[in-house]
Amino acid sequence: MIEFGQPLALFSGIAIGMPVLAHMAYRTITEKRLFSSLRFISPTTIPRSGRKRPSDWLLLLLRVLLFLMITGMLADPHWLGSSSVDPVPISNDKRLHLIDCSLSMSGWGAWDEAMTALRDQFSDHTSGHGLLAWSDDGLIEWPCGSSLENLRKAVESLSPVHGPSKLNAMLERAKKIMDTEKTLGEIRVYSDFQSSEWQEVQGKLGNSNTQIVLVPNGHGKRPWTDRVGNRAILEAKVMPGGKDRIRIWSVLGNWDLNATSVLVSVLAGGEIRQSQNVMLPPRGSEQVQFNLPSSDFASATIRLEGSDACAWDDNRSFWVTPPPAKEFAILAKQPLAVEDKAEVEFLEAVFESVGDGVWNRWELKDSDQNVECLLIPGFSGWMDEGMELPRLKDHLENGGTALLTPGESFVRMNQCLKDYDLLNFTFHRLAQTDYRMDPYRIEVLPETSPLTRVFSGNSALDLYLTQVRKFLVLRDWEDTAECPIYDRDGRPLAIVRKFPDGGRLVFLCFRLLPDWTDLPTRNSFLPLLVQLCALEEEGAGGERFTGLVPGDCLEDGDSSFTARLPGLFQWMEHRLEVYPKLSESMPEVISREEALEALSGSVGFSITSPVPGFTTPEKKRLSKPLWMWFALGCFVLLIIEMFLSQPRSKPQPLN
Amino acid sequence: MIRTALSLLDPASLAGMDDLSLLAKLVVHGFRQGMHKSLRQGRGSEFFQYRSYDPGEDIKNLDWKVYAKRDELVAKTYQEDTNINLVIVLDGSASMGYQGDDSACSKFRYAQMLAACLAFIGQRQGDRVGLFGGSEDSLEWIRPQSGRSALNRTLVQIGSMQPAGRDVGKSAWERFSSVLPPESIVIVLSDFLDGEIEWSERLRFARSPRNECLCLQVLDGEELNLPNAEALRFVDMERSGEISASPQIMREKYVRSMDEFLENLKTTVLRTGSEFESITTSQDLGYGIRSFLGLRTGRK
Repeated sequence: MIEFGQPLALFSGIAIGMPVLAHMAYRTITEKRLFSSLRFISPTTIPRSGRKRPSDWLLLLLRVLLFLMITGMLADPHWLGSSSVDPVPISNDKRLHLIDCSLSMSGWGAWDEAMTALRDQFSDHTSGHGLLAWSDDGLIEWPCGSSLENLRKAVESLSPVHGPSKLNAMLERAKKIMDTEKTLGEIRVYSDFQSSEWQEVQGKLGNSNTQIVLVPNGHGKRPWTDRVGNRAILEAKVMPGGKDRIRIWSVLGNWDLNATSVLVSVLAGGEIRQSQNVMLPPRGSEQVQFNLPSSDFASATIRLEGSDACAWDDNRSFWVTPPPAKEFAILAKQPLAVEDKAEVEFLEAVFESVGDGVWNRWELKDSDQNVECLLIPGFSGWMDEGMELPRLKDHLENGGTALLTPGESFVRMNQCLKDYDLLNFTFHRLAQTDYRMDPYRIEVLPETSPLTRVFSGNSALDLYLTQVRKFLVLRDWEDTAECPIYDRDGRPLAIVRKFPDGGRLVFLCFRLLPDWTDLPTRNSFLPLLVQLCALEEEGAGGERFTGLVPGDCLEDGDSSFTARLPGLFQWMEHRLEVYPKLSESMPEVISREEALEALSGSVGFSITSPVPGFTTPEKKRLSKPLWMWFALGCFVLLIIEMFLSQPRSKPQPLN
Repeated sequence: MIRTALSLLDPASLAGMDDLSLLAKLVVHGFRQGMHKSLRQGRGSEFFQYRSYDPGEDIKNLDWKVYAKRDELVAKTYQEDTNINLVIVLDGSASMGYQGDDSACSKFRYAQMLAACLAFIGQRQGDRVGLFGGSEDSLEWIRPQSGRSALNRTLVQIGSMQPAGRDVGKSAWERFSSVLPPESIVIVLSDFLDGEIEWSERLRFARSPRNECLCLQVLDGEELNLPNAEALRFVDMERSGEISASPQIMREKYVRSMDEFLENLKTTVLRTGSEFESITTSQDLGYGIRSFLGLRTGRK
């Protein structure tokens, strides 16, 4: 029996073929003839050929047959016949049910359909059923032959999981069961066959003894075609929206074929704060923004009002309160000298300028305890006298950052740093320079410098120091430290030592002169300082919130957090936002052939529609593609057609 | 197989023969056997044959070498030289290459064979034989000369010509008229399909009483009645252009037009003082040869 994989192609093929057929059947055939003179030849109507002679009726019949063959070939013909060879006479009284438990099954009613189908399967009082599914904890397996009561209970306990898909693992397990269970007669796969999930599937369930039955769920009236009728929140972000206000920005997607108006609301503190009507284009997206006061609530939820085919992607929660500010302290010799005071004020201004001032901000703390960064202008012997050096070392070894500028006595400073194993260097001389006609131009950053990533190609390359005070010309330094920046004469401008736990000691080789006039502080010196102190790097408190998807695991020291469900979580000092994988709400599904290919690894594998009852091997159908035979037939018919449609040049008696 | 005289004149039998000299000899000999006429004998430079010596005849006709060998008195006879220049004009335009489905040869091949025969006859009659013709692209001119070598040269040239291109242009015809020697017989072998008005100008030399001209129009049977087919796309052999037509539908009109054209052409040619004969490639070569001999006889 011939079955067509693309039956619609039959109609389209006929629709295309008939006009062509008509054209060919009545086409005019003119033979080219060289003639000595066209002087007495005038154009005439050309009689249509091929209508009345029996031989031409044969040609017409041939052409009809040719187009039928072409149409049949395009319709992907297969021969469905009984297996002539039944390799092993077995009793296939076992049936394994594979259930797709991915989150996408919760949309378009797919899960309910799958559960209903399973309940039907388990209600016919036959034995030999098995079940494979998964949860967040791993695969769930009920071997073939389990009691129907247990299977019914297992089905009721299943639900779509937010975590990563274990479809491949389930299919691998099914393959092993298939290999070991010689009497396994059928594997039934219940899934929505969503493309984002199934396109990565590499099943190898090809086995002539086991029939694979695909049960598409949630496909509605048009199985194996893309679904419609879903709207989703694709993205949502919160950012400062002015003084004491926040701006909520979101992208909404529409997978419907028609434009849809949707009401979007922001909920905070248990009530709707703002709502907007948004018109979503067909198969497109639209942005929406809200501006809310920031101090009233800690979190908010943006929600699409109304219902659609997939509900879980209609809301998204997020933190809206600013995280605590990062702290820095200034450690300076008291009382402050005039030049120290100017430098302290400048550094304080620089640090308070880092970040956006709202969500990512730095604050000066009076105490130097538990701060993230210590600023020590004029580092010298006074640190040792005040017993500050052990605290500085603890601070660095615990992951803190310290910024040092040279003090009055360079020899004493060097000795203190060396004694506490903080930094070891030698220097040529001290340049007492207040004002220079020749500015300290910074060397072009080498490619290996970590600063290149930030400043390469930017205006920061123009950074130069027109005026510095007490420039210390270093000669050599220990290997644990590195010099990321030089002036154009090759003299180091800063030495950085990194400690194992993330601590960072930044030693500037000069004292800052804040009353300089043309140093582009905001544009270049501030980002330079930020980069030298790694103030924005991950782990330095730069990130605001941590976004996770179910299944992600976050570690902090010896503790870890595994995201399972969407929502907002406060874990240790982390504020976490867990949101579902957006790909799970995509409406695209794979075709039946693609599903077959994904499961079997080859085209032409046995596939049937879901049918109630068991299938015996004697009734098993073997599908054999016939397109090659159709193509061969087309070729032969085409050759005959070309031969028969040659212009006739036999002489006819003249009247 | 013994060829009869009739079969030796049949173009279907002769079309495959490459050697025009041999072809002409066979045709003319066969034809003349049927005609029972001898060539003109008399005083000339070209030896013709021996005959018995008649007593009283001038002894300078005796062949003394034969007498010495055979002790027999024989007299040599010579082909009489004439003052006639036989110029064969062979149309080598592309249209002459036409060959109908039922024809044994193309018009050009037919004209080639006929030209060879006429040249052979002319040489045997003692005429000086020359050639003019070809096409616009390849023009041939051999000044009339007497003797066998001149005949051979003419036959080789005829055999090497191929139909291609357009007709010989007006200026070439003017030059031909200017270099044509007096006392010339001009045999024009062409299909004459490029218009009757042009030929009135081209055959201007025939108006002179010292020249004679015979126009032999060579046509294919299909040019008179059109090929048999339901529909054809006619492509001009000389000019660019094509016309799709049904011969069945337009045959009557075509034949009428062609007859009218041939009538007008004949009138035009006759007005120039030339003879005109239309032959088809299915007819044997004797038609053309007879026309030529008729012209010769009339001239004598």
